[in-house]
Amino acid sequence: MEWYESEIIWVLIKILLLFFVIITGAGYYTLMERKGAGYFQLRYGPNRAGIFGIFQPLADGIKFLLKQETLPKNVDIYLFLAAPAISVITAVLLWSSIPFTPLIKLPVEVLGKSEVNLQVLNPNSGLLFLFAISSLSVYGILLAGWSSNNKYSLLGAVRSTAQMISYELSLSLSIIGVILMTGHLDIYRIVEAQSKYGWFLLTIPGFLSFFIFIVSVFAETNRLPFDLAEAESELIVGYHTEYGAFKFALFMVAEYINLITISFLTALLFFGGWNVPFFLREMLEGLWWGPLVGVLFFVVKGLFFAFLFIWVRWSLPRFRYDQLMNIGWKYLLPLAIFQIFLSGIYLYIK
Amino acid sequence: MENIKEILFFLFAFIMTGSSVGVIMHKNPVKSALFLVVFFVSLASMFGLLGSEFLAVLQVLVYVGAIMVLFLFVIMLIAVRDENFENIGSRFGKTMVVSLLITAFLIQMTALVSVHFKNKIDTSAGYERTIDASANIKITGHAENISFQLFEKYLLPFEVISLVLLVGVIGAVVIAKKNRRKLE
Repeated sequence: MEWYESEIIWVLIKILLLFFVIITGAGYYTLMERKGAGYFQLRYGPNRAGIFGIFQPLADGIKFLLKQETLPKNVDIYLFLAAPAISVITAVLLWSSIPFTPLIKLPVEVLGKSEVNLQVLNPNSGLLFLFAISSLSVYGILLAGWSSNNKYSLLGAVRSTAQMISYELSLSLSIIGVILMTGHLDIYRIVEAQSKYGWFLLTIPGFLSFFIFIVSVFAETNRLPFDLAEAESELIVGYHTEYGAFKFALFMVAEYINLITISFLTALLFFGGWNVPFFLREMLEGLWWGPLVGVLFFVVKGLFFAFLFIWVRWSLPRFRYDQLMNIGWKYLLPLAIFQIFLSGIYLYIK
Repeated sequence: MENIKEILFFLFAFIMTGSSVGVIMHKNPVKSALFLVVFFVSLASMFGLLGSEFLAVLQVLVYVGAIMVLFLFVIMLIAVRDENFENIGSRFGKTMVVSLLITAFLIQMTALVSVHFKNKIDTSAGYERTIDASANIKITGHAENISFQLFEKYLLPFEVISLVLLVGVIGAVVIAKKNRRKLE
């Protein structure tokens, strides 16, 4: 048996490739955010390291690595060290079941493979698996806040946990519309269904569910206008106040990885993923590299949502905490339940 | 492949036993709750090993992602101190429990390996696999199957159970409200 016939080797190669993409992606997303912030505030942003500050993420990484590792007194040492690890692990694990490319049929057999797609595993319960993993990311924040033995940290952690639990409800409910219209939990099939019916965004229940989804996502990822967990002015920075050096970097990396994941997931669920516009579809019919053009479209859509997060962050002020809870429980949750009914009726009429 | 499955089964069984001992033995309530989280996660992996992926995902989503977070939340909010609880067992006793568990695990693993080793040499040995259920249960893993079972065959029991849960929720609210009025 040759080395390339083993399925495990291929999975390992995919994992390594994706991991490299994740880490660099998260690094350059921070650069994009800082450049974007500069643009919104009429200043330059980082422009010292390389041209347009292109080496800034690298410099940041080296800085975080070389900083002195400090450990505050009276922290719960195991949990204190485990918390950033949990955040990163859950963030990276989410990428395992996102399909980044459709099945590409190769013209010639390369190393005994005639079909390739970039997805590490395809669980039977695709979307549910994603949500199960992302629900674990609360633990990173909760444990970080509790173990650092600091009142501000604990307050920040408690705040963000309450927020995440509240918005997770409407987030998971908002997906049901999409699942009902496809009849499958599998993300791959959800995207394929959109090549038949058009983008889910353009249907009535689909639009409502996209609206609920995107609002809850801002709360889930603790971004402005819902970043009460980190509110610099009142809580210092919340749960990671006591963290320094590389442990802090891990939290930041996890946050940005989550943002990238969510942007690509939005593109997959509501914006047709790698489906190409109708006038290109006939042109690309039968070409083996046709799907790759679709992937290009997919990446552009994903990057647009990544930019949307930056756009909103630097445009909107922060909500008050009670307002946040009101929006979550009194408006979004009933709206999400209404959206389930609406998609049922929509399917019945159709 | 079957070998890996068996080894994983014993690994998760070990983690589950250890963490459930941790739940009742640990002095700190937050850590106890965390042990319970570990227990639930390894239980989910056990479901996954048996081929019931959907159940495994639900286990993580509901118990770990929602219920245990609320537990931890409440424990952290009321700020229970370590001193409120007396230390169960001495340090020596705790060490004994942990080392006994680890010994049992090691014995299990060596037994497993030796059985397989024997099998390789002497194929006529009458050894039967203990976990062969995965072959039969594979089909229950699908979400569609479970939903058909729930909403067609077992519709009435399912609805009755949800009614019981609703009663539980209402009961909790009533009890909480009554106490609040008394306090005011």
